[in-house]
Amino acid sequence: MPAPVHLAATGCLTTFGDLEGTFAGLSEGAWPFGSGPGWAPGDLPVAQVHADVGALDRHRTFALAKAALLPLYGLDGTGLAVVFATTTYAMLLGEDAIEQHVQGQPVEVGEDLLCSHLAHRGAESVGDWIGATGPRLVVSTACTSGTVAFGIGADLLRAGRCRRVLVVGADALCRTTVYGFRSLGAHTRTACRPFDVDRDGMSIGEGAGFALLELGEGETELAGVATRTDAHHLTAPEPGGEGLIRAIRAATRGFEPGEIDHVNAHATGTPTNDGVEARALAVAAPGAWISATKGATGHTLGAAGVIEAVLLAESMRRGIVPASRGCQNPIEGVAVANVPRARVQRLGVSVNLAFGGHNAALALRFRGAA
Amino acid sequence: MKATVLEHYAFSWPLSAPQEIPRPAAVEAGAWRRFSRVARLAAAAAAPVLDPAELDRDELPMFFGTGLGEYSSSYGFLKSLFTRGPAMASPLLFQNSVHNAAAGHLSIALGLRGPSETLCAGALTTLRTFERALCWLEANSGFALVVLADDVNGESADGWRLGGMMGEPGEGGAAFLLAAADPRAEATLELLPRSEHAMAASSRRAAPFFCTADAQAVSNALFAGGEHRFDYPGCTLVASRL
Repeated sequence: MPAPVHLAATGCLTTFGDLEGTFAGLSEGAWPFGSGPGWAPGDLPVAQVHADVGALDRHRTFALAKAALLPLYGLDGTGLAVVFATTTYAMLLGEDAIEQHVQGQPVEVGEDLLCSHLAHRGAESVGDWIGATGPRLVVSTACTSGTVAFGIGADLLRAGRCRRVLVVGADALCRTTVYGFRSLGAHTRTACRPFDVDRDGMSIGEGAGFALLELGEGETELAGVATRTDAHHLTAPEPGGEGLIRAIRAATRGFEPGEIDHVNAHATGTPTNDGVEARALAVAAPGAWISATKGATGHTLGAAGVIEAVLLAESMRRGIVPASRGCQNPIEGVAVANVPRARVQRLGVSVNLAFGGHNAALALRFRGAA
Repeated sequence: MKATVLEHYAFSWPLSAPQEIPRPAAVEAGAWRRFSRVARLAAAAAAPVLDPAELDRDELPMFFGTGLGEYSSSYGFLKSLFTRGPAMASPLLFQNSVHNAAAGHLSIALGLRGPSETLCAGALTTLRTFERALCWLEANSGFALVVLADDVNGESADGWRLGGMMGEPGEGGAAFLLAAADPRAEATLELLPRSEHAMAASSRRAAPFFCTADAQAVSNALFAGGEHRFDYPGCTLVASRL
């Protein structure tokens, strides 16, 4: 048996604010999607963080991460590793520089031209800010990045490479992703409706989340993390969901599928993703309640895996499976709720799918009082 | 942490002397056309390493390290957006713009269905990718494929220059097939910790930036034989062959 690893602290920042606000926003509150920043096209609804984080850093993704991490301010960074999950990291800054370069104009901030792809600076910036002296690295497997980061962190701890691990996920809205998903025809022009029979696409969101991992038993333990690849198509999941099924089985090794109480699904709201995921979950987690949080938070891309793991942990701690906003008429075979349900959860799973035919699953075991 | 090196292959060249990337026989021509340059560099390194080995490709984990990722595809996508408008923005370039696009192309072309992770750590990318693979092997045993690739050319070279990065940019690919440590092994990689205070050293602006230069040096050391030590902040990577 591998040494136990638990979540010693968690937090997040989304369009609904901090963890408290976000958990409440999963089930109620103002409509989360709007026209977004000035550059965003008005016909693609996105979920923007409203908290004024601009003063924290000119680099919005790092500012989002910093704002989410404020509850940890003063944390001892000795022996602390930072595993940072992101998809586009500094792209928002880089886009202005690339636009100037493309138009043949002088690039205002030369460093910005390359910084869009210096993703490692996510881990460096957080590590410098906190004073972390352990290993720092970025995982960037697109929309599964956050989930993968937990597995890397747990292995670093168990190998004795650090004393604690700070898993952070952050992504800001930017033109690359909003127009990129539009170019693929994957962005809704109405509203994100995960698992709804009338779903027609995803809504991009922005945000950040964190989890502090420590060795030893705790109230919420990381029971397993696994990834598997479809080897099928770069952007479309394998129709049978075999890769996702294999990832869930690997992450929950030692448990029976029927023991899974709750799955926080990837559930982007695209017709293809949700259909494949529903088929896979029926096999890998029969009888589990399913929640879909992107109808409230939007799809926060590289941050999604961290934010969703944090929300799953909160759901298990409170004994409440949240509602799945936007889902009025669930597709067949998916047990989603449109109101919060009281439910004891001992084993919870969070899953994400990504470009590259990537599937990731994370299992949490709740040992606290129900 | 220590692992056996079963196979390894690396190549790199400076920006001033770019070379053609030959298509490996294992990758079909149709797929090759869809590959970004990073994916081509990665495939050209990974295919020869996998060819001689009889491995369970449903379970083989791949750890892909890249310092800069798919810059050329991102730049191309944004160029299409800024010059031709949103309706003409290229979906193909967008899907190739994520850091793990190369790993995705590799998995499809080479039939790799196991775990996959794409890692970035700037100038420490080679170190951190090896560290991740060694951690994995310690926890899971079996085999691990480490692939590293970076391309710095064209627009990204402009970014390199304007950003004041040090060292000459370049590109390349490298691959290492590792196994859990076997005492009879001829070639090994070992990670030894050094004093912890050194770990805080930043990896920014270190030179050379592109991660394959480090990987090339490790591969060269394994070919040369003997014991070679590579010092990094907080640890030393030891490559040795009896």
